[in-house]
Amino acid sequence: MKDLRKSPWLLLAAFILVLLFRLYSRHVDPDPRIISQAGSQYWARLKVAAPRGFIRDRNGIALAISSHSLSFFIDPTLWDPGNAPLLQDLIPKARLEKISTKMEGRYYPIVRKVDPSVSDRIISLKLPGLFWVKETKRIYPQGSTLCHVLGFCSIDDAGLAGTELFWDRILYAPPEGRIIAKDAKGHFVDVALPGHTLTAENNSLVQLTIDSRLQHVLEQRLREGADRHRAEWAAAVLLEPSTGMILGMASLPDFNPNDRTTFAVKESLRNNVLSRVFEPGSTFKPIIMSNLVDNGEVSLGTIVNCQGKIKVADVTIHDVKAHGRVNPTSIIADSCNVGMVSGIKNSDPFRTYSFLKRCGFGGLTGVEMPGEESGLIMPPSQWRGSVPAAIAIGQGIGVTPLQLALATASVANGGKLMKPFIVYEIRDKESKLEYKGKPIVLGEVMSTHTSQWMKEAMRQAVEKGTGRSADVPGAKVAGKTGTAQVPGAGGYLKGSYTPSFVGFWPYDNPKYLLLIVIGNPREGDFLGGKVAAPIFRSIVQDIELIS
Amino acid sequence: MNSHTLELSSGYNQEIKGHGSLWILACAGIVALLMGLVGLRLYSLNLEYQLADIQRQIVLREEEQSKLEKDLAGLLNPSRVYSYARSELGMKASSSIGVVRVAAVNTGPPAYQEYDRADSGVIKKALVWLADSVSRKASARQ
Repeated sequence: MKDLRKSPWLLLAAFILVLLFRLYSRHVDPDPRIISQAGSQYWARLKVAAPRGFIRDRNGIALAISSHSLSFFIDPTLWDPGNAPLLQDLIPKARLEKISTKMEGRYYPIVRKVDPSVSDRIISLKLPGLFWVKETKRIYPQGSTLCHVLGFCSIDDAGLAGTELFWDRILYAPPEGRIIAKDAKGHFVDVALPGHTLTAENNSLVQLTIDSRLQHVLEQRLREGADRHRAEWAAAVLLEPSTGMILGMASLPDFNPNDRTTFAVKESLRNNVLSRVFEPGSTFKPIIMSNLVDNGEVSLGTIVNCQGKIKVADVTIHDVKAHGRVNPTSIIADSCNVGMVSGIKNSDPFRTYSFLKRCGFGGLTGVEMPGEESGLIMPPSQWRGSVPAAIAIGQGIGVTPLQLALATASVANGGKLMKPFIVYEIRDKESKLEYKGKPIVLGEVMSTHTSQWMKEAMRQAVEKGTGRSADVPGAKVAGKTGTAQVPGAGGYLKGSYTPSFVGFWPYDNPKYLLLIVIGNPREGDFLGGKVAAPIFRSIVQDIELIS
Repeated sequence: MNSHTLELSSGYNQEIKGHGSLWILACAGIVALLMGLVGLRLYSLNLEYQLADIQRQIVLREEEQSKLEKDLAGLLNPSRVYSYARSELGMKASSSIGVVRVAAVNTGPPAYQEYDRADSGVIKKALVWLADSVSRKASARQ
């Protein structure tokens, strides 16, 4: 027994037992300090930036995408200010000056979200104390095309304007946390939770009803026209009158969402189609005349003798010329002010006001975009003196181009006011359908019979009236010109006009409706038939070529 | 007494020897087990490294995909197509474009409609039954 106690095997056995016990206790019931120490050695918490979702056009062409980019920072304790000149032309000047001097702290950002060409050059310098992190950058591959509809984002990828802002809750995905395992050298080994990857997924999608090709035509022709007449601003909207689906929307001046320096001109950020309130002038006449005919306040056989001017209350309203004997069709075709004023003279203001409200004037259209204006329409109690006459010729009322286009679409589609929509469908980050744009009839604003008659009258305006320069042989365009005076302090501004043209084609079964508005042309002509109608015509020709 | 002690001690020694072998075996077993565990750990570590490599490749491919997506969108840009057609291919739109609409020629209803109208019900029912049974079989196969 004594020998057994002296045996070396007993000692070994005891040692192994202690070892096993310690192993057991360390692995099965370790001290919390050990857990924390081991954890910090093997695990790391990582923030993974999720890209914003896609914005695509109706054909799936990407209009806004997120791409990977690098942001650089320096650790001043490891940074040698003598290396700063090497970063010249690669980072902003102010930052370069700052890092050329001795600094405090451990973190100083020098440039964010740079293009791969620049980031590759910075990395190749291999400067000590210079580090980088991966981020996602919003890119608009088509440059300034559709800029007002798309909008833009902040440097931190939050939507600030347009679709980016309106659908931010869908497009934006917050950064996700990942716990990763690392080896003894600190290299990444694995993502702790099964099923997770090192990247954060975001499959969210906003698909617009816009057709990039039509949009390009719209923007190009509008720009040419606006430049030709040195216009202050311009707007164009193309839609499907039967559904209210917006196919194109252009506004000038514009900006490039990829270049933040272009945001400095505030006027260029405004979407004139939604946010510009203007007096429409004669393009408003078909709306008013439709109501007068529909109500029976004007019959189609009514004859008015236009002598070139008419006195209403204390105001004399002039025409371009004396049109002689005119009926409702020729009033529209020749854009006769006297005829319109004679027609509205005995009408009920409350009835007309109610009709205009039903047409969507003075209210938001409900299109899926931010920044929409509701326009200006006086209550009928204030329609005194020359106000109804002014409204009949499209003055004394403020509308947005989209409102005017939709009201005219009701003429084209048989009398239905459609709710406009610009979003085809929305999918969330798991690609689940969240929203689908569909035609919604807001109301019947005129009878089919009146609509049919007005379509014919507007066809006459293009065939032999004021809108002849908008005609495209074979396209069967119907439309109406407008030349409005611009109101200012104390009256209308001298020499300041808003020429416009609204039309649809083919007039017997309209497929497209297009409105062109040119704000304050400063060169050449100023009449709607001479400024806006030729732009309309060039767009129709281009669309007919590609559709 | 001495011989008894001797006897005892030799028996005891044999017993000790027998126990010693057992201990050696046990130790060897434990060492083998530990080595096996180490081997398994190394194997799992290797798999983890492979997984990490795949994860890194996924990240790279996703970056490449977003770059390609960006390039594709740039190539499909109508402005680029338009300017390329004009400057590189010399294409030009005519200044006077007219539209010619060809009216649909009414050649009567399609043949299947004629057939549809001609059958008095029996043939139609038979065709419906045939189509149903074929589609049922097709869906059953799926």
